[in-house]
Amino acid sequence: MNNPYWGCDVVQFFVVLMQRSLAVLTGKSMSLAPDEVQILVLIMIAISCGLIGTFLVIRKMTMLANSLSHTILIGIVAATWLCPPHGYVLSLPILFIAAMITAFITVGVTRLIGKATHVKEDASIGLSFTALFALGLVVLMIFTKNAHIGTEAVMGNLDAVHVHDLWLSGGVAFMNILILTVVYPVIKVISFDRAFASSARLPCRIIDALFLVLLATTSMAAFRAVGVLLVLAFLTGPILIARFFCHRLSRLMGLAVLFGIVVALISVAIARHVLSVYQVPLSTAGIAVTCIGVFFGLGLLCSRSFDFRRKECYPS
Amino acid sequence: MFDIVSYFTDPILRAPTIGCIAMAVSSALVGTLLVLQKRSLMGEALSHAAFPGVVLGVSIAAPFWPQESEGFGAILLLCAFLFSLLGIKMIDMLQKHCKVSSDAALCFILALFFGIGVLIASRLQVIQTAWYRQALIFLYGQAATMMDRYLPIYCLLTLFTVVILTVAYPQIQILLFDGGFAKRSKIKTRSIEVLLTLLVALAVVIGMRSMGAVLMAGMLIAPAVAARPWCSHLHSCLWLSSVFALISALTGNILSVEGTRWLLKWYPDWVFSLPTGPLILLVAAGSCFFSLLFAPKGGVISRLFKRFSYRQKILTENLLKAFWKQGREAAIEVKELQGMIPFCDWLLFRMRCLGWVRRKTGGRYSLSAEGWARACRIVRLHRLWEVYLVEYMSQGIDRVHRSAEELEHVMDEALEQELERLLGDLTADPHRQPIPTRQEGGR
Repeated sequence: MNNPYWGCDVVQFFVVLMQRSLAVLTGKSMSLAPDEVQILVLIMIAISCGLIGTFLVIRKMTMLANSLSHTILIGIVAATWLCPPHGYVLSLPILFIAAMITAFITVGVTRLIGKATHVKEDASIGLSFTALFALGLVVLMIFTKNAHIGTEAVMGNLDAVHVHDLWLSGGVAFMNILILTVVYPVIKVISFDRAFASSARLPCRIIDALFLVLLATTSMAAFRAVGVLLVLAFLTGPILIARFFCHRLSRLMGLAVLFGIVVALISVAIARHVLSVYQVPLSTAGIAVTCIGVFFGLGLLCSRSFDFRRKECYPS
Repeated sequence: MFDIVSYFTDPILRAPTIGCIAMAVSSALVGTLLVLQKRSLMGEALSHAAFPGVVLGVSIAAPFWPQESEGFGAILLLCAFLFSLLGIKMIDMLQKHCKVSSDAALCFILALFFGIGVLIASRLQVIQTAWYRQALIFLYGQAATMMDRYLPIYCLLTLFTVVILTVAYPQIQILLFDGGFAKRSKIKTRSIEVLLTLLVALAVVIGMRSMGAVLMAGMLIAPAVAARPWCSHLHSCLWLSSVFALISALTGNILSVEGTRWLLKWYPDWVFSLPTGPLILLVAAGSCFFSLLFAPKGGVISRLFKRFSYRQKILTENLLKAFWKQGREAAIEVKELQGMIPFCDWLLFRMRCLGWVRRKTGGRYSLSAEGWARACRIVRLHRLWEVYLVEYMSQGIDRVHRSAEELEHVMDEALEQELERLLGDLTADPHRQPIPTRQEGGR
């Protein structure tokens, strides 16, 4: 298969990318190279994570994402059991159902331990998700008779993504955008002032459940590309970076998505560069997360030098 | 049938077993302190942050030491230890200097460190597959890779943890239960906290080979949660959680070996063994489930039983009152009672067994002498409370009946006497109803 990015370094990569996207825009060519699929999948994941993650960080619910990212393994087992996938690619409805099952099992078990006993909240979270993860791992290994599938699920393998994955992550991103746009005014109020929201009779619990399902679906859609644990970096990192630069919710979401997209582009380019210049294949997901870390450091330095947020806080 | 002694003597099985025990003891001791400090999720961050340390340790140590030598194992442990400390330091800094909330900081750092670990591991995967496999051991844990020659390191580290905890026990106890007091007395709280963090990192590092980075957090929490409902002292908690962890480690180990043998009988073409780490954690979670259900204090079942017996007591007393209203010798049909009080048949059966009611012909019941005395006592208490509420609490006469209805059930001997002393010898309640005398109440 001829890959136009073969042998490119970072600069050439972007030049070729520009040329090819121009070609797509003018209608000359419509095929996707593997690198472009990777970029698009990562961008879709970044969009989903940026939108969901903003609310996660604001509502201080990232531990929920952490538990879900572990228990999603059970959902994957359930999904593959319900509907044997064709070449490990799940269809969107199955993924959605499995994500729902996982989300409600996780939250249910955690709440049950917290409510029926005197165990503190942090301990009940930690206990339930690790136990569910262990269960998922054992069942998965017995099902697949393969000790390596667990490793892939945790670490992700972006080089193995296929066009099907693009449809999947694209569908999830579209769903996220659609649902969050519809409920945006409500979820905004709930995130910032829950007491007011419930006294104003806003449907807090429905929105919470919806948000939970969106979160589970997002992390599940991302598991093949970046692995269940590295999704966490996409969910929290871009928002923490964006917080150096702005305070308003809408800008925060926009910036987080933007950072995610930039990270997606750069990480695939770097992976290609390292492969073609040094002949070292590296995990693109690992590079992406490291990029987020570097961006965070840069953002920290920038925010120390200039106070970007002052103008927003004290309008003249 | 398996032979449990062989797990300690067999040259292949003994190192994993003893390694798991070392892991269990250190993680249970340190985990109990973490759970009591409500910082259980710190283990999660530390264990994930240690992963890049392991990968880096493999790439540093492998060129200089042969694999599976003591030096190799030690360097791995050291690197993992340093990285987990770096992780906790960064979480601290994020919280302090960037005003990131604790959960977001924890998530971000653990994902970031794990991502860096994955990045380095992917480099190893191509150039040195054997090193990569060494690093992967620490992801899910493979107790089987524990060697006899690693054991001294692991046992010494565990012993070190135990000794430190024993020496610093009084200070830790004070810090745990009354931080403010610890600060005011001459205890160096800061250094004790640092010491505890070091111990957590150490426990994570000890456990990583058997349990793996991802599951280590659970192993820190589960034994402590399992032990907590059974004991009310720190030292007994520590002991019991170690015992729980030890049992889970042994059982998990045995399950993984015997389970694989059993599965191989059915599927002879299998090439892999059941993972030890997840099994140990599942057993530990099972023991949590067991103690949360069955613990005498605070267990779900014991609390349900208490609630049930209290409700039964209230219903029985209400039934007695219903009998009392009909008079000493009146016989009441069951059907009349069934409308008033739920579970009537069961309560009547129980009261018959206790000898409080007698069965008359035609499905009618009447009170025995003892039943009558008890009924009188309840009515007396009810009316005494009504008097008290009207005279001392200035409640309206029309409102006291409901409160007295609740209060009559929660009454012990001392309170009753006090009430009598306060109110004097009364014959009628605020509603001009007669109050049964103490003699009628059977004492």
